[in-house]
Amino acid sequence: MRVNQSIDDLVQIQPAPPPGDASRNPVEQLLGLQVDRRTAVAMAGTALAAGAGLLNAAFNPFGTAESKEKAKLEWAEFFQGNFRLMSSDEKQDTVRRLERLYEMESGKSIRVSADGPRERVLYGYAFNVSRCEGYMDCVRACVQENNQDRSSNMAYIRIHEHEKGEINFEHASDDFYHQVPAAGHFYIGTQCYHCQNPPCTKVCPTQATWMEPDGIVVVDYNWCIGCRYCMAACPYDARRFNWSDPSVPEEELNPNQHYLGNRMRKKGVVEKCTFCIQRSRNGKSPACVEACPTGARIFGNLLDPDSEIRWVLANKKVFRLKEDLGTEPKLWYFMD
Amino acid sequence: MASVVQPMGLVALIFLFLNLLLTGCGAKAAPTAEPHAHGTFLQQLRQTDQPVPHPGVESVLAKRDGVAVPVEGFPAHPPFQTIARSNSMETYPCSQCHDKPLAGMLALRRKDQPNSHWQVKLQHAPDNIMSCQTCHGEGDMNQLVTLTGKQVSMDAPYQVCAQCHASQVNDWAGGAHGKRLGGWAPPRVVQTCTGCHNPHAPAFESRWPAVLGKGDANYPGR
Amino acid sequence: MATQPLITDPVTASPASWGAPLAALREFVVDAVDEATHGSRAYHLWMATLTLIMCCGAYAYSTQLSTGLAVTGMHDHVSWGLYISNFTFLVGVAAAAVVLVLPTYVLHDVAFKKAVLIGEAMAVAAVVMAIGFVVVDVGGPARLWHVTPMIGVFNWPQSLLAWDIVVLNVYLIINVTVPFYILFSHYRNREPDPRFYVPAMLMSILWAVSLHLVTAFLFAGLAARPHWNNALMGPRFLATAFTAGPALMILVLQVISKQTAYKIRTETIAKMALVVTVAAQITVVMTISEMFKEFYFPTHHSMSSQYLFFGLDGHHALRPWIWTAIGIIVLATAILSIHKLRRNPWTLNVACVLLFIGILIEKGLGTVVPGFIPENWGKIHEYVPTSTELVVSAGIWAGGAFLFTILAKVGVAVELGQIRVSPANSGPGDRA
Repeated sequence: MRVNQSIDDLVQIQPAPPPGDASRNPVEQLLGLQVDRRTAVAMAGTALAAGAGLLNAAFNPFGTAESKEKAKLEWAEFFQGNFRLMSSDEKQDTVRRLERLYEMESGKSIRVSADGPRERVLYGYAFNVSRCEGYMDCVRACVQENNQDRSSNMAYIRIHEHEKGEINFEHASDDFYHQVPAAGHFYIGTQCYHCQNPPCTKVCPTQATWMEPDGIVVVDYNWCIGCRYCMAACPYDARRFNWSDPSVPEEELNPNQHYLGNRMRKKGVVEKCTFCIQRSRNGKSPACVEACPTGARIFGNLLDPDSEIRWVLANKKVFRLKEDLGTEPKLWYFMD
Repeated sequence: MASVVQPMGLVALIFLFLNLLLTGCGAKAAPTAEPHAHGTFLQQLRQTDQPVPHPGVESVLAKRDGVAVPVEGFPAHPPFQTIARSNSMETYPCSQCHDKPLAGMLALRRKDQPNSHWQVKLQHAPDNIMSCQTCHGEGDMNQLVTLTGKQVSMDAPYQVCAQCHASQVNDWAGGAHGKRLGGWAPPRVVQTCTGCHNPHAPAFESRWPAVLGKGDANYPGR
Repeated sequence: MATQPLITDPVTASPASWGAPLAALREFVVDAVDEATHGSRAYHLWMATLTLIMCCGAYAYSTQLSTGLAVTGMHDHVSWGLYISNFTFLVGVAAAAVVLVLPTYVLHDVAFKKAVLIGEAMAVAAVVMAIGFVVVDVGGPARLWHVTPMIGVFNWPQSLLAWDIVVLNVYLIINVTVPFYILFSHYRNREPDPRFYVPAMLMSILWAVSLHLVTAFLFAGLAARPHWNNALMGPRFLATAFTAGPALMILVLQVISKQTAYKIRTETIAKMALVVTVAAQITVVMTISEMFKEFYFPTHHSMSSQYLFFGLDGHHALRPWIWTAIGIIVLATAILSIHKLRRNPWTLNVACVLLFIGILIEKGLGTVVPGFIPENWGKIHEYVPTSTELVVSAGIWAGGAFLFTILAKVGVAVELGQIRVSPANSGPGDRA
């Protein structure tokens, strides 16, 4: 049985309902209950190791006002719910909290957005195998844009150098370092394909990862418990884990962030490409698309019959990788 | 044996019942993905084809990208724009020097002086196919020319390129070749041919990849 | 029971049906703690050793907590390692209690009656260890409340991990409550009520099977990993579980028989040995089936097996392990298949030790890890557990052994009548 989200469902994206119980959908009503229970747990949960330290700081009579505020914010952050199920007010509270916490930690201000999906938009991506020359500008732009951990050289994109004659990833090299393009070789980039039938979101025990109505597969880094089942389920090596505390030099930090995108992660959570959600939801192309000097990367709205991505699908001979798995990737490859 | 089989059958029944019960209860928690019988993903995409409302956000061209001008000559494609060239060329208009036809200019040239365009070395196609005049003509140097002598604006080099590179320009007009500027949202602005390809030597040179060698965390700053 | 007087306990004003059991429970806890903290020199040495290992494990885990999982040998390509391997193996050991429960409660085979409590204690210890291995494996143990049904968001029935959380916990509850009820009844000199414990035990049989099937499905459901995406996964998990679990139990029962007055009949051991033998034979047949499928006409999907058994592109870290495992499993199966050797306690024990070790290797290094090698795009990134991982794992194993020893010691003491409720708290309806 093929399990797809219907496009009809995607088309009928409703604008985010205003807060207030009367207009809430059943999920949000359910959330209302969950918040209450969670609050109850929060009150009773003082014995939790993580909570105890925070509480101690919050009510420490010798603490400064700022350290108390910080402890309270961290306490609230620890017990916040799943972002997908939050009301828009809760989402705003959550991102303001992140901004304030970062400001208190570093003295610098960042902007964390909670912007939702746009109506009748479903993002799609195409990759021109003929045009990719292996310059890796996309990889660098991605790392910089998305505040990826520098200490572990984390990268969402892999560029595979294939010898002409076969598309066989086992024989390709993904750690080449020589002048490119190398004679007799061609290049294929892989990254998260934002599958329309994503195996990774299905396996997540906490629904900490899901597909947004505009087709972007995202992770709530605060809700992820770090079990890494999604990494095992992904057939495309799209997901990365923070094996230790991620670090980005202060001067290189991108301050334009999105809650589901490039905000700073903590250790022990999974992250991935989000089609640069902080950019794409503002009409921009992902950093990799913008950085590619050859125009090998194409991005746009699949629901718009006049979009470039739809022209590519209609006019070029496209293929996808591991199509036999039925994951319906939203990244297509083609050649001139 | 009958006494063995009976309890096991019972156990199996309980198991089935529990499964049904539990699956039924959990169904409402399922967030996405319902079985859909409308064919493949692509068929579904095409089924929903209808004019898309403006997404509510516009692409903004960066200053360094230049000035957008409408593209002409592709009636089969929705209107789109490309980057003007004439306003960013250092010595435009060419008529500042080229105040007479090419033959007259060449007559003025002295043997001991270098060619005024000494830095341009044509590495585009063999001599028997192409010379400077193939694109620049011999008359009005402010314009390009086609093979049939029709004049083309410096802002529309794609019309000249299209004469030989028809499939590339067709891909460019559709979106499969070249580079979109600004973002995915409307309006659609694409880089012009000469924005990437030096028309006098269109091949790209090889270079080192942007990411430093493995283990080296010194990525260049922003 | 129906003829109970209304008030028999002068000490409390609460209803008699609660007051006496509560007082007895208090006494039981005191007696149990007393029993667990007193024993022979060997007992104390054993427990002290386990405590020491647990402390080392706790220290190693604290470094892992502060630094992150980077202290393990895992990486983005092999994202599950020793912890999940142990988890997988221990779920099988836990499920194996059914080998004792089924004949005792369904087939009413008296030979198993004495062993069944020990088996349940082992199931409890194994489930606790399995849960422990999941806890040390996750990146955010403090956020584990997110998987609590009702409080967090539980992706059920979509996620097999959510299923596993359900089956593990329910299995743990069944295997804690039922033996506790039986022991506590015996402690109070009563016969436990079969109307309560027999349905619960039938439930536990069902749960033991689903426990290991669900764990197998957790792997088998992943189309991304051809090495796991295999219909034989579930049956094979069951076969190895019913090999390794009872093999361990045979060894433990003999130790208890030797160390205490709680004598397990040789008939029990013999019957369990038969179960181990059949399960081991099935395991060998399934291994042959899998190897045939992988190697008769190797495809892209056989790369993991290729790596596991023969090595790939000069990488062969798992090759010696898997051949060792297969070698000793086959050897042990051969020993057990010969009646004379199976009936000889010495060769039986050798075979059981071999099977336990062989399947521990096969389930962990031979099943979990090669699923990730080569990674999705065919590159080989090997996995070697670090000392931190080994020490944390040893700590959890020691914790399991510690828990099992206490459970078994208290259980044996009750069953032998060494600890019993005082007459003051024995309450009405005393049938002794």
